[in-house]
Amino acid sequence: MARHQENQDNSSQSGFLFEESTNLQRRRLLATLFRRTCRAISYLLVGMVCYLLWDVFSDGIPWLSWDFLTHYASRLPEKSGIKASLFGSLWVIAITITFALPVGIGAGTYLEELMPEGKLKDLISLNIQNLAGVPSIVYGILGLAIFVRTFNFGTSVLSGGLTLGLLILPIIIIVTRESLRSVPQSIRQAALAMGATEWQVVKYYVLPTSFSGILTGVILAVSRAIGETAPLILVGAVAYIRYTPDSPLDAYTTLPIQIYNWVGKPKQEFHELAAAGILVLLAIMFLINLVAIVLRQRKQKTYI
Amino acid sequence: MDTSQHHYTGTFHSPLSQLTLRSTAPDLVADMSLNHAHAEITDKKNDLTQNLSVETTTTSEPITTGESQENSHTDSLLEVKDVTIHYGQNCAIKSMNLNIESNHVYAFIGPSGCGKSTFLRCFNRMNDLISGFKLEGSIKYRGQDIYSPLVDPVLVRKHIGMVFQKPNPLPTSIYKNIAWGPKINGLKVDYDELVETCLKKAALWDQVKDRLSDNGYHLSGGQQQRLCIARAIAMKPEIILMDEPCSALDPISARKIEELISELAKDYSILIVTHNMQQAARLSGHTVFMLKGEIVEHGPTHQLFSSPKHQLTTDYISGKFG
Ligand SMILES: Nc1ncnc2c1ncn2[C@@H]1O[C@H](COP(=O)(O)OP(=O)(O)OP(=O)(O)O)[C@@H](O)[C@H]1O
Ligand SMILES: [Mg+2]
Repeated sequence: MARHQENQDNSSQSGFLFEESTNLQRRRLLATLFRRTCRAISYLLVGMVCYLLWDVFSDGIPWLSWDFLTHYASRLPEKSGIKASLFGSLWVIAITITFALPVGIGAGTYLEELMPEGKLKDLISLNIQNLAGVPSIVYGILGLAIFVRTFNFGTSVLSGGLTLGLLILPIIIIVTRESLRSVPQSIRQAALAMGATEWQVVKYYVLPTSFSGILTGVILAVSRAIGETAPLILVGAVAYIRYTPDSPLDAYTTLPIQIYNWVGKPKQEFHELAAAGILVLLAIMFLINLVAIVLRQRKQKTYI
Repeated sequence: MDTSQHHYTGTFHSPLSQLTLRSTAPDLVADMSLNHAHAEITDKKNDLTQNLSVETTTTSEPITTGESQENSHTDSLLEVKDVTIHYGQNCAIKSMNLNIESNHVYAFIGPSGCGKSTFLRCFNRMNDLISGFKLEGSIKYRGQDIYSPLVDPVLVRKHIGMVFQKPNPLPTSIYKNIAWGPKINGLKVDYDELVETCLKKAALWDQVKDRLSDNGYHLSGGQQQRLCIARAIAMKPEIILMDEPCSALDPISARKIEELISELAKDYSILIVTHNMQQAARLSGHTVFMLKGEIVEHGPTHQLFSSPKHQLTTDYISGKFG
C-alpha cells in the first residue's frame, strides 16, 4: 500500500521509464517503416483490383440480362449469350469436383495420417509438390494423351473435367495434408489411447477438426479450375456450340474459353460481352466462396 | 519412517461404505507388519476425520480387493525384460528390467529427460506413433508379449488406459468424450449410466451434470484433466498410465486429482510419472527411480524415501540434482 502511494507521488515526467533511448527509437522507426510499407502495398493491390473491377463492371453491366444468360453465342453481338459456356463450365466443374475432391482428400489423408514413413512416402510427397508447380498447359497435354486418346473419351466434357481434376489434385492433396498437420497431436493421442483405430481417429476427430482448412484449400483450387483455359483448349473445348451438354460425353465450351474467344474479336461490342462474361464468372466464384463460408461456420459450432 | 506410517494409515481414508475387510498386498505385509498394527488401531479414527473434512489426505498404499487377492501375487501384471528403446540413434532406455504387480500404484521419478514418459508410453504402445522409435526386449502383460507382431496395439490400449500430462479432451461434448471409447470398442452398456458413474468416480459429475452436451474444452484445466481420467476409466482398463497428470494444474486441482488417484488405486493398477516427491510418497506403494534411461533403484515407496540404498537416490530425493 505504502509503495503504491510512493509510486503515485513521483508519477511526474521523470524516471528511467522516461529516458530517451536511441536504440529503442531506432527499433520503433523500423517497425513504423515496416508497417507503412505493408500498408502501402496492400492499398496498391486493392486499388488495382478496384480499377479492374470498375473497368469490367462499366463495360459489362449494360450487357447483363436474362437474355445474355439464356442465348447461345452468335455472330451478332446483340444476340449473343453464354448459355452454352455457362452450362459447360458448370458441367466441367461438377466433374472436376466429383473426381478431385474424394481422390485428393483421400490421398492427402492417406499420405499424412496412415502411410508408414519411408522412402516411398518421401518420393511421392516430392512428386506431388512438383506437380503442383507444373504449368497448366502440361496438364492439357496429359489430358489429351490419357483421357481423349487412351480412354477414348474424345473431346468431351468428361475429358475436360478430368483434366482439370488432375490439375487441382496436387493442390488439394497438399492443402489437405497441411490442414491435417495443424490438428494437435494431443487429439490423436487422446483418441488412440481410448482404443480407437487410426482410421477411427481420422474419421471422427482429425478430418472434422481440419474441415475448414481443407475446405478453404478446395475452394481455392476449384476457383482456379473454373478460370482455367489453356488445358481445356488442348483437350478440345470448342468455342461455338449451340447446345448444352446432356451427358459427360458431349462436346462443350466453358466461360473462360468463350471470354477468350470474344476478346480476340475486333468488334468493341464483343469486348463488352467478354466483360459481361467475366462478371458472371466472378459471380460464380463469389457464390462458391459463400457456400464455403457458410459451411465453415456451421462446422465451427460443432468443433472447438 | 514417521511419514510413511502416516501415508500408510491413509489407506483407510475411504468412504465408510467401502470399508469392509481389506488387507494389504501379501508381498508387502512382511515389510509393513509393524505399521499394519498401528493402522488398524487408527482405522476408525481416520474414517471419522474423513467424513468430517474434505482436506484429508486420502493416500493409498497397495490394496487388493477381496476378489483379486488370490491371483494378485501369483504372476506379474507387467513384466519388462531387457527393454532397450531408441529414438533414431538416440538411446532413451537402456536394458530395463522391472516387474509390476497388479493393484499397486507405481511412481516413476527421475530428472527431466531420463526416459520416464518414454517408458510409460511403451506399455500402451503410444510410442508407435513416434517415427524412429525402436524397442528391443519384451514387455509382457499378463504373460502376453504386447510387442508381438500378432498383437494389435488397439487391443493393448483398450486394457491399458492413459492420462496425459496436458489435459486433452476430445473436441466434442463431455458426454461423447466418455462414451465414445466404449462405443467404438463395442462395449454393450447403458451409456448414460456409464457416463454418470465415470464422472462420479472422477468427482466431476456435480459440476457438469447439467451441461453434458457442452464441449469438453469449455471446462477448466483441472476439470478437463478429471474428464480425461473419467474417459480413461470408462474403458474399464486394468491399468491406467498417468504421465504427470497434475503438472499443468494449480495446487487445489492437483490435490483433487491426487485424491481421485488414490481412490482409483483400489480398482486399478496405476503407473504414474511425477516430478513431485511428496506426491510420489503420498500416492504410491512402489517407487522407481530412473536416471539416464536406467533404473537406479526401485522398491516400496516408504523404504526408498526413508532409507535409499543408492547415493544417487538420496541426492535426487533430497533435491541435490534433477
Ligand atoms: N518424440 C521423440 N523423438 C525423439 N526423441 C525423443 C522423443 N521423445 C523423447 N525423446 C528423447 O528420449 C529421452 C527421454 O525422454 P522422455 O520424454 O521419456 O523423458 P522424461 O523422463 O519423460 O522427461 P520429463 O520429465 O522432462 O518429461 C530424451 O533424451 C528425449 O530427448
Ligand atoms: Mg515426460
